[in-house]
Amino acid sequence: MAADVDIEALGLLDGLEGDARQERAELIAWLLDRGFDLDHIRKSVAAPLVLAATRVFGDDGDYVSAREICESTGIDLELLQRIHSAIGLPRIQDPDAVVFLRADGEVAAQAKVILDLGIDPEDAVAVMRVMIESLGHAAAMMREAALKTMLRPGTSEIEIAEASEAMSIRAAPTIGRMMEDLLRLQLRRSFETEAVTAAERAAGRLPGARQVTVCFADLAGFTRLGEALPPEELERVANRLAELAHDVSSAPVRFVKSIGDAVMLVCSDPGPLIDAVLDLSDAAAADDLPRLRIGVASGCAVSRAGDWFGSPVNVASRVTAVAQPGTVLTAESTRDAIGNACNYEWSSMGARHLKGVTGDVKLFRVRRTATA
Amino acid sequence: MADDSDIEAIEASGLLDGLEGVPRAERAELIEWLLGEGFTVEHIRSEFAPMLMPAGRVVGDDGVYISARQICENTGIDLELLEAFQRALGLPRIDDPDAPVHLRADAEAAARARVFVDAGFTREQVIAVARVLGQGMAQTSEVMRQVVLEAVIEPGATELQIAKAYGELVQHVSPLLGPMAEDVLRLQLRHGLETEAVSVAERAAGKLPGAREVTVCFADLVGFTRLGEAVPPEELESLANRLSAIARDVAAPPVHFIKTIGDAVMFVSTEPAALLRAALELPGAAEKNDLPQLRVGLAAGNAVRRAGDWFGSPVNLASRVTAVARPGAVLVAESVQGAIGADDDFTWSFAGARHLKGISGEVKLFRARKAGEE
Repeated sequence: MAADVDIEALGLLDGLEGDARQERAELIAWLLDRGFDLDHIRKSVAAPLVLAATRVFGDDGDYVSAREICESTGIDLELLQRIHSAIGLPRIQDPDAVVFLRADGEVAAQAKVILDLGIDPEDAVAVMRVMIESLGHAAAMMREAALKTMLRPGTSEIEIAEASEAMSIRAAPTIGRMMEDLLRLQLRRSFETEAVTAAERAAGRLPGARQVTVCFADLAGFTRLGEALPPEELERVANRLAELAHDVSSAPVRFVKSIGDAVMLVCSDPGPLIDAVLDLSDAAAADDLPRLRIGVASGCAVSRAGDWFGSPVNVASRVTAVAQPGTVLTAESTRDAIGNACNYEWSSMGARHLKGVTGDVKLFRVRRTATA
Repeated sequence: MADDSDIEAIEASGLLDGLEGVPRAERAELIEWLLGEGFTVEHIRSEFAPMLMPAGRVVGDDGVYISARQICENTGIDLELLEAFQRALGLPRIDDPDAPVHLRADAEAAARARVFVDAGFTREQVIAVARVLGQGMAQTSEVMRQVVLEAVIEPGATELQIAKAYGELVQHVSPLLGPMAEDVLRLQLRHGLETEAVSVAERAAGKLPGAREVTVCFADLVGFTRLGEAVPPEELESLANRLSAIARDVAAPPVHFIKTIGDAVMFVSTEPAALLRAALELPGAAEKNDLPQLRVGLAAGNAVRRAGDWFGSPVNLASRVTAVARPGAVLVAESVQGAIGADDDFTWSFAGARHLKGISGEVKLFRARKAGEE
């Protein structure tokens, strides 16, 4: 029984006063009753409140040392260190210290599985890094949404701990299948959009740089808005932009990412991208969002791990910065790539010096041709 | 060996239209093999890259298509929600609910989002989660595809050789995909970090972790746009990659590496001194790794964490401070200098009060150095 343990003396209530202290003591007693030992409660990265829920996902108090992980997976310490840094686990200070959750060690074993396929260690680490980063966002979102469903005014800590544990138990078996299905779905889609060309096969290397059109759309006045609105409100505005950008992006236009107050879209074909961003501009106006600055440029870029690199990315970002709120501004490269398609109207905005770009860049505002 | 009638059939199918010479011969060889593997002419015709079909089949592209209405009947979710899921996952929008155009496997994946509905998430939450998951998996599959293709591609390989080698490797990888994705997601669900510390006040209010006082840091590669005009895209990508490696290296709790944004990296910490200490490591690390110089900027204030990213005034301000930092320097807004106060680890020099775009009034800026360095 928990009553035997002097919770006060364990340091688990430090910094808490009054009701909060009382509630936390009750929560710890509840956890002890549920079979958590004190060491586990103290060591866990999770707050006591969600410990019961995270136990369902492997935070079971079973710790191992880095050396044990190496021995059981067959990867060397140096690579393990790199994997740890890729997945955001603490640095290995002492290889013999028993400080890593066994379940976390199993993620390192997944990297070993990739290596065993004959894949370069560098690449294996890159795969883990991208997975961790992108699923980290999803996990954060899922936790937030889950917590929101159980927070009611005045909920006690034990009630939250219980509800989150119950939800985790319910979701855990399905989540694996879902992850697998979603990953397979995206793998199938990646086959659709990218073939391997004869030239690439001849060279024996992968899709290098290719001609693409890149667009950024930026919420005008976001910094000023940030000074005036509470952060939650700001997040809602940014989130709404991402949602609209997703809505207007259907193949061949790809939504690449949202970056704070901006979104980035890419397309190998400039026409559909221009159509999408004109739609986006209208949608933002209809949705009461701040006006968008939209900038577009074309050129050679390379795609790695879902992001894009190359001159058109940088130029599009610079063009965006000089676009008038509410307009779509394109670099000459995009104007030329579109040619004489009659569904657009172009007005020259003169040639401008853009930071970091040699010479002046001719800029054009693009609109839909007015329907007669 | 193909006999003449096979070759005639392939020619007649139109699958070689537009190809000449060696590519035509290679494609014919590939198609003959695909037909032998049980793929139909119709299925091949519908594919953008026939070479990747064996691999595609392994991951669930079996050529079976069903309509949106059938999916709804099979899974019990309503049409409108299914469409929202499909859009969130980046699947194309289809206007006709009765058109059998959805790959069965895709449809089943979309229907899995049901688990969140059952968990009591609101409609908006379900769609937001599906969107972030879809995006995360898209990035993951992109890097996997690249890595796996790099592993099988050999100079001068024919379409058939690649189709076979790729198909085989994907066959090996396939059973591992589920456990791998599941393990990684579980790890992320375990490591909730400080967001999870739902405070008494938040519970009393019945809402989630709101804004908290944090310090935000950006580090930016100087001259990246100019470089982008001068060097090939692959080179740029390698620079950005090295920057993100350095960033991960200097970030250890309580300093959190948040993300790479092209030529910049972002960190957040609830402890300003720890973050500044990490930030001061960056310029030296960049030099050691043969990177261009870095501009580093920090600001403190109230921000909110959502879906792994941060929103709020210090995020915007830190970005503006970074833009005016000198190459190689670490510049902080007065909010940071004030929060750290007297600390023997740092020395400060006043860098003037500046007007920053979008910020009313002037912001006092300080250049930070490690104590004992000039």
